[in-house]
Amino acid sequence: MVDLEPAQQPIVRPWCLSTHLEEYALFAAAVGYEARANYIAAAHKPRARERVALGFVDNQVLHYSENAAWFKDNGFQVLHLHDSEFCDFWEATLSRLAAERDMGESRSLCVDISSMTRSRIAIVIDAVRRYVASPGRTVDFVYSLAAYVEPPVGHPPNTHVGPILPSFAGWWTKPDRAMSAVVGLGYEQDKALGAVEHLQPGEVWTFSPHSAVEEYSAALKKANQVLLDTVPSSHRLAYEVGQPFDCFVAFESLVDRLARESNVILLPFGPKLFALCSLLVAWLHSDVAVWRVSAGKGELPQDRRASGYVYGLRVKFGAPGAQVAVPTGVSS
Amino acid sequence: MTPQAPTIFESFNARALNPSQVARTFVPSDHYDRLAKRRHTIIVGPRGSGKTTLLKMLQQPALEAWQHRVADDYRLRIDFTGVFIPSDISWGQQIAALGEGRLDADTHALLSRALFTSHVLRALVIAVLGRIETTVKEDKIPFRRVHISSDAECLVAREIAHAWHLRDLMPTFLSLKHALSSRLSAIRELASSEAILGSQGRPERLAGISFLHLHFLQSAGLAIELFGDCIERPDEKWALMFDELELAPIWVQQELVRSFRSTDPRFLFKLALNPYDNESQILQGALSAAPDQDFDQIPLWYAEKRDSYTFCEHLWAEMLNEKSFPDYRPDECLGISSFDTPSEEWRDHGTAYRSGSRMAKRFSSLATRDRSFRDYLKLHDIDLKNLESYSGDERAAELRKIGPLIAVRDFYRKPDSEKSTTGSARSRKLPILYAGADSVFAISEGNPRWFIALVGRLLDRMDPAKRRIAPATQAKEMVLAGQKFAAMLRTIPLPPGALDSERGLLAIVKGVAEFFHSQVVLGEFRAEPPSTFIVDSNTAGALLASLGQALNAGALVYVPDDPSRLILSSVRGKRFRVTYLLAPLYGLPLRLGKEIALSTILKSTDQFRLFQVDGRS
Repeated sequence: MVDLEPAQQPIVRPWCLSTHLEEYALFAAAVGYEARANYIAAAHKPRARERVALGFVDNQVLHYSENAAWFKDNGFQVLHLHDSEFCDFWEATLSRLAAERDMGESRSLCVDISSMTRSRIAIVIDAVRRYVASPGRTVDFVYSLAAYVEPPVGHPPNTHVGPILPSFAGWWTKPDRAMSAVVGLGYEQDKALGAVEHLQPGEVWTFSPHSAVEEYSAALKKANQVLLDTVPSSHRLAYEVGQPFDCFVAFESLVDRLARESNVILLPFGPKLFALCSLLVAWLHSDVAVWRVSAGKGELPQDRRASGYVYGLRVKFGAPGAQVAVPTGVSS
Repeated sequence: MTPQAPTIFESFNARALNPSQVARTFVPSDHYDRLAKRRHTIIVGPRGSGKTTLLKMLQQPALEAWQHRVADDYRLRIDFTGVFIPSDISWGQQIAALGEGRLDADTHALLSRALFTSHVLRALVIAVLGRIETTVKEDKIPFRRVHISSDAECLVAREIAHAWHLRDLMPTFLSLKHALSSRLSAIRELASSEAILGSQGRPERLAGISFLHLHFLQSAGLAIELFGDCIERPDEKWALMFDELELAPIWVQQELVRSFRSTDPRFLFKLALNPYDNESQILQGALSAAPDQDFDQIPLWYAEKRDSYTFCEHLWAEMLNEKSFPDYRPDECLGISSFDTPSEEWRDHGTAYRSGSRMAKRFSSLATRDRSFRDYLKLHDIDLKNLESYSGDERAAELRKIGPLIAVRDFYRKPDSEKSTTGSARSRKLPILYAGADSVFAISEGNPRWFIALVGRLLDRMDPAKRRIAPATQAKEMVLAGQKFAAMLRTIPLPPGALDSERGLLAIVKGVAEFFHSQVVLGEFRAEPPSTFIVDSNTAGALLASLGQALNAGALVYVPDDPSRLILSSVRGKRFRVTYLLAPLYGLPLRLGKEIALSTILKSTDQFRLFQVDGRS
């Protein structure tokens, strides 16, 4: 019998490295070509009953082999997967873990999103909301902030400009309403500007990241100068990468307001934590769309080392309504 | 602080405005005049060309709010009710994502049809609600209002609800609208549950859901019949106005065009389309209607820049009025374009080439620095000291023809060195060459969104005391507009089939623009260097769809050879130019020059090596 009951809404909570890296049922990381791919696993050694490292079949360059070997040597199951196989893996694994929920085992998962693509983060969120969203379950999403590297040079042509996944395409029940775009800024030259001009929203809001790695700020300002010049100052918000919960709360409350009057589309460039926040906001507001702009295989691999800063968000399932908080790290 | 003017694309995006807001700044054009006729019409134009604005201005709330001096005339002439059916890229993506890729094609098509039908019917109900509105605000002039009693509304709404399979609602038109919004949600939920339930038993499940099988035209037809009978105007016309029709399912596009010939006579169709559409090929099929006989076509672009000037002047006047400026002439504030010869010079001196004139100085400036130009002058027996003596003869015409080229060449070319045999380009961060009223008009392409954004920002930067906008300010804003447009071009994803390419849309357009620039600036001086291209048979097939995208985006401008065929299913054999919006970025002359085969351009530019083929692919 297929269960068509709607999944529970997530309750998003702060996550802290010093107190929250606990015993998990599953810890999953990405095997990527970035040096930081194994940073959290190596430096903080999260304990888990199952440990997997999920890699790619393309772009096995830079530190990829080294990372795969490290994960294997340290007791991780290492899999090199296409995106469709990645999706199958999560569906199978999470449905299996869901079936074990009464076995008295740990009910928490931890997912390191640092070296995952944005579409893979969306696949994980989608699988979590299908299979894990039941009372008592917890999923921690952790992220290793990269040390500064120069923005990528050149503009490979995009192959995808659209919903990050079909399940995050959103839904307009009033297609005649104006569109609002909420844009998380990254430091690729005019990438956010191009997406905004492509979509032609009636209203644009930007979220600029600030972090402990200060070099990003100047690069980000330069890359988005033209866009920022045309967005009213009241629509330009800043957030601290180190305080993702505050970012989430501010982001969610903005979207909640915008969605009453307009059709909302989220464009998460910049740190992957912002992409995670976007997907969680869209989970709470199913009419809202999350889009991705990508050159796919045309994007040149770029190494990113860990900065040493680790942040995260905890997603719980249980009694709803307990997530009101005052944002402290977001300002206009 | 400088007030924030609308930005080039956010600003005047009619999609984000309600009909009353659109009416506030609407400037009628010949296009609107033709669209307002009681004819089926297809309006064709790239993004930003004003398709949505024109359609929205046929809606009753827009016509009621419109205060323009000719508004009364249109209110008298328009004898149909406009039903605006919106669409946008994201909504199109949502329809495509129905069932999240886990439905078979037939089920997806069935649900998409139901979605589209609900969308059309909801738009129709919104139009009816405008007709029966009882309150009239002070600043509105009632248009096509009708009185309908509560009992009559109850009767009609109940009948419509029954026919549209809407249950358990209050029999009012407002409730019908809400119920149709709910239906849009219900269809998404249905798609989601069908994706989970799987195909077993699906035909029986879906066959039993009656609203999935409604037809949008038949259902709309029944509603207007009921409404028309109720208000005792059974023959009233209703214009179904589909915006961004290329985003609608192909079956809708094809059915609408077929309907031009054979549908309910109470319906008019007003369709907005991009100029390039290789997927539906809606005008190509045997069953298609014939342009001019069955419907009018309205192109919303101007291959010749001067054709847009009248519209630009009207828009300029409206924008001054909106910003509470006196009625300044464009050239008072923006100055005379470098590409034009001031009319005063012709009037006062009988020539614009007299000694000391701007043109004469420019000719001399280039001649001192450009060996090739000197050779040209010598060959054509042109004496720079006696330019004014050429008035009225063929060589005067020649001077006028080469004037714009000389402006660009003089601005962008470094002086020849002793040893070099070819010219070299001079970098220009601020292309003040493009300042001036006619240049601003040309660069806006008569595209309302571009014009309003660019001129809006310029007017915000005007010194009211001097009533002048400095050339440097104009150049800066033009570059900014070009950069934004370039960023948008860079974002547009490559079409299927071009996936092996290393270059995106912007690189293609930029490559062509740089070729034209080099022809004007660097090569031997020629009176007629190419500035348009024809997509010849040696152009690789993989490039054609990208060129079509560039056309729809407004980066390329179609120079039609057959005015009856404005929608292209293929760009092959057609002639184009690069949009003047990019001219200040790439140093292009603002004129429609000779054509050249695209394959010739591609062969001469390294970056197109991927597209160099000997034949079609």
